[in-house]
Parts: sequence; C-alpha cells; structure tokens
Amino acid sequence: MPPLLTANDVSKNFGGLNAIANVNIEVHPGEIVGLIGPNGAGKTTLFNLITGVYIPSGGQLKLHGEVEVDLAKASPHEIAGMGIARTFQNIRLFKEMTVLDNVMLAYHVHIDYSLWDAIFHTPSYIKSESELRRKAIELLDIFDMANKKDIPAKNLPYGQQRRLEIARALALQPKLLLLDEPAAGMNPQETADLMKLIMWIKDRFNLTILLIEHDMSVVMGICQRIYVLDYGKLIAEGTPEDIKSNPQVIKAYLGED
Amino acid sequence: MADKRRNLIRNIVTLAAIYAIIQLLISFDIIDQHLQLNLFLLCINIILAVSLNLITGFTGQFSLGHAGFMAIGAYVSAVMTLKLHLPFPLAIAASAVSAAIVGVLVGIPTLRLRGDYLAIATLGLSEIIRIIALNIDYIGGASGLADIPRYVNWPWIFAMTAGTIIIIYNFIHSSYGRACIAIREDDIAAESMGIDIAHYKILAFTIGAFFAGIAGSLYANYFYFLKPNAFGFMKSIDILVMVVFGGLGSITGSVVGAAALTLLSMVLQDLPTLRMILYALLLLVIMLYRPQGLLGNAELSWKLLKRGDKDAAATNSK
Ligand SMILES: Nc1ncnc2c1ncn2[C@@H]1O[C@H](COP(=O)(O)OP(=O)(O)O)[C@@H](O)[C@H]1O
Ligand SMILES: [Mg+2]
Repeated sequence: MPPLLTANDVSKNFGGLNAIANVNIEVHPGEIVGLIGPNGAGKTTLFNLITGVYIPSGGQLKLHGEVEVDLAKASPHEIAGMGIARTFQNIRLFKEMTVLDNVMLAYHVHIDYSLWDAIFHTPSYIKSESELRRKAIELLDIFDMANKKDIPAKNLPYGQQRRLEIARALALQPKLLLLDEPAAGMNPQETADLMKLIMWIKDRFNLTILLIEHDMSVVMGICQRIYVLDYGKLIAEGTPEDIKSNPQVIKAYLGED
Repeated sequence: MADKRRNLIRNIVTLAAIYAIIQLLISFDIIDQHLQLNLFLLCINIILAVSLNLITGFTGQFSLGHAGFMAIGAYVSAVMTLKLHLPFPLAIAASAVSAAIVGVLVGIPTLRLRGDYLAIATLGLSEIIRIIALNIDYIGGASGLADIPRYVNWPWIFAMTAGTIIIIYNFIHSSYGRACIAIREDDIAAESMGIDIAHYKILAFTIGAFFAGIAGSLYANYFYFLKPNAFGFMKSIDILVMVVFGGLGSITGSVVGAAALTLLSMVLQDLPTLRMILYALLLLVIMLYRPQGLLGNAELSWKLLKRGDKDAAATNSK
C-alpha cells in the first residue's frame, strides 16, 4: 500500500542546533507507528514540522491523500483541515471552555451553516448544532467523560485532560492522528488503559497513528513499527523486537541523564 | 427542544414587556427628558460594551480604539442626515458598514501584534480617526457639527440595543463564536484544530466595529451635537472599564457594567473630578478583589433563575 505520510531527508535547524537532521519516515494507512528517543531528540519538533507549526530547513514532507500535498507549504489550520490532528506534549486544552465545547469546537471544519445562520439561529443552525452536540457527547462517552461535559476543561483531573485532548483531536475526524506522549504523567495502570483505548479508537475510526513516547516499554505492545531518534538523527527503525535488541538504541537510552 | 422553545417565548415576552413599560413611562412623562437622556446614553453604552467584549473579552484581542469606530458611525450618520438630507435608516446602515470596513483595516495589525502592542496600535488608529475629523472643515473641524436632526427615539434605541445583544449572543454560541473563544484560550491549539486565526480575529473586529458604528449613529442623531473630542482616548477607556468591570467574556456582565458606570456618571455629573476618582477606585477594587469582573464569564439565563428558585425552595423547606 502507498504511504500516507512521507518525510524525505527532512531537516530543521534552530540557529546552530540541528533539531532534526536528514530524517526519512514513512507512515502507511492503518498503521500505529512509534516515534521514540531520549529527551531533546527532536520528536516534538518532527510533529511541529508535520503540522506546519515549523517550516523545514530542508527536505520534503508530503501527505498522500486524494491529492499529494506539500506540508511545508501549508499552514497549520489547512493541514488540520486535510485530516492531520494532534495532541500536545504539554496539554493545550481550551481551559475556560467546557469539556463539551472543547470537542464541539473541533467539529468546526465540518460545520455546514453560514455566519448568517449563526447570528439568527436559523433552523439550519439549530439542526446542525444539535446533531453536532449529539456526536460530541457520543465521542465523550467513549472516553467516559460525558458526565463531565458541562465543567470547564481546566477543572478535569490531569489524566482526563490528556484523554479530552485525544477526544478533541478525534472530533476533527482525522485520517492521521499524532499523539505526543499521551501517557506522560500517568501511572502504569492508567498508561495500560490508555494504550488499549488508543488501539480501540484506531479501529473504530479507521485511523493511522503516529505516537511519540519517551518510555520505550509503553509503545512496544501497540506499535507495528518504531522509529528511534537521537540528537535529531534517525538511529534505528523496525519492529519492536528489532528495536529492543538494537545496540545503538540501547546505548542512546543508557547514555541518557 | 421544548425547553428551547419555552425560553425563546420567555425571552420575547420579557423584551416586549421591557419595551412597553419604558414606552409607557416615557409617554406619561414619568421618565422625563433628563432621565430619558441618561437611559439612551445607557443603551448606547451597552451596545459599545457588548461589541467591545466580542473583540477583547471573547476573542482576546486587547483593543483601546473602540471610540474610533463609534466616531466613524457618528460622523457618517451626521453627514448623511444633516448635510445630505438622507433618511435615517439609510444613515444608520451606512454608519455600521463604514465602521465595519474600518474594523477590517484595524483587524489586520492584530494578525501580527499581541497584547500591549495591539492595544497601542488600536489606540493609535482611533487617534488618527479623531485627528482626521479635527482637520476636515466639511464636518466642522474642532468645533464639530451642530443641529443634527434628532431621529432617535425609544423604539430605535430599544431595537438596536436588543438587536446587538441578541446577535452577539447568538454569534458567541455558534461554531464561529467557539472559534473566537478558542483563539483567546490557546491560539496554537486553535490552529491545530483547523481554525484560521487571521480570519476570525478580523471577523471579531469587523462585527465589533459594525455595532460600535451603530452606537455612533444613535449618538449623533439623538444628541444634536458632535465633536471629535467626544471620541478620544478617554471614551475608549470608558468602554473598556465597563467591559472589565462586568466581566470579560460575559455579555450580561457588559450590560451590568454599562449600567453601573452610566449610573455613576449620571449621579456625579456635576462633580467630574470626584467621578474620575471614584472610577479609578472602582477599577482598583475590582482588580484587587475580583479580577475576572463582576460576572466573570457567567451569563444570566432562565436555567440559572430556575436553579435559584429551587435553591431557595430547598432552603425554605428546611
Ligand atoms: N522553537 C525552538 N527554538 C529553539 N530550539 C528548539 C525549538 N524547539 C525545539 N528546540 C530544540 O530542539 C531540540 C529537540 O526538541 P524536541 O523536539 O522538543 O525534543 P523531544 O520532543 O524529542 O524531547 C531540543 O534541543 C530543543 O531545545
Ligand atoms: Mg517532546
């Protein structure tokens, strides 16, 4: 099957620092691909390149949908509209908005009523909003949060904030979901539950997932393939078994701290 | 759904009642000329505060130039009615549209500037508007325009005030409004959710300016006189204080803020110095003890009232 996302010799420099250096990556439809590496390896930077927050210093980043798109030339909101959704390593919820509004906001690109409908609350607005609300609650239900829909997002406990961020990303109805350390700060039980949930939503919503994780053991169970970054360079690629026994990977992780 | 319908009927009945009662009080001269003037001023301030709240409270764009939009509306309306003898409905529509067009222009710097810088830029633009008005002889220069026909009566004021509140409330409670609030909350996350930030910031400025233009038109065609200096820096601050006092992000708050500060001005009309001191004190107290403003981001609603009833009933039954 042709890849959904390709990074071809991609680099990103910050001043003198090569945060990403000549990285090649392919993500195929339906895969869960892991992106691991020590702190500062460049994992988040790669997400920021894919989502258009940064422009690559070199190389090519392409999304292969119905048409091929050069991600370096698209702005973040356009890329989101093409079906790439993400979560953030440092949770970025709309804190003062309710849990439900956080999710409803993300349906924005699929809204079919006009500004006119909005300011006069026409039947088309009413119909569309109630449908949207139903969908958003359904989504929150999957994450066991429907009962918290009316509280401000900032009042959720930490673990649920992380889950809400994933729910919000799903509301965008993406093809490709980028998760940046979704289990950070969770205990082993919560982490295991979350990984199960990720597997489940992948099948339920027909997703392709690229998953960043700092802790290697977390992704071993659910990823089909794993890329390992260290100091901006790709040092290994392969199945979890390959990665586990790769001497370079072991060295990178042992050399940490 | 049935709930929504009931609330809609309640809202319509409440609005009709407010309209009718005040109309009656005016007819029987219980609301005399002096009171009426202040009532109209209050309504104009509500329009200004609610429309600024859309820009600053909901979308998070710190603007110090709202009086500039009002000035555009006021002068366009005055010129069209006084000099060109055009009908008022046409004048008020033109006022709103001209202010909105300037709103687009003011919105453009918001794409690059944030916070304090944006505040200074908007302040600068509104000062430019004032200074241009000062220097055009056709519109009276520094001495302004006089004998502007008075077309504004209670039905006009009421319709425009209610219309502003309803339209901005509806906007906020739609996908468009959620996008604006999301930008205020976290612009990077908003972009990653597919929101075109530039588009919505400009939209907020355009809509905000549109209604400030209406406020200006009402002002011009009620008060007979117009002077550039009525739309200076202090007027923008005045409007901002109403919004901050009531609560950034609450439309009810803006109405309450406008009411409180218009009342304060009315009571202290003859003591302008004391008024300024009280103003400053009031702001200080709010900043220290309730920085989110009187209402924070809460809105008055039927549900809230009902819950209040239930709470009261619960305490009574104990
Ligand atoms: N905007 C930026 N400006 C300068 N340096 C940056 C920026 N973003 C990331 N970096 C640097 O790039 C390197 C990779 O960071 P990051 O991608 O966040 O690592 P990871 O997510 O793998 O922990 C780090 O050394 C970091 O300090
Ligand atoms: Mg990171």
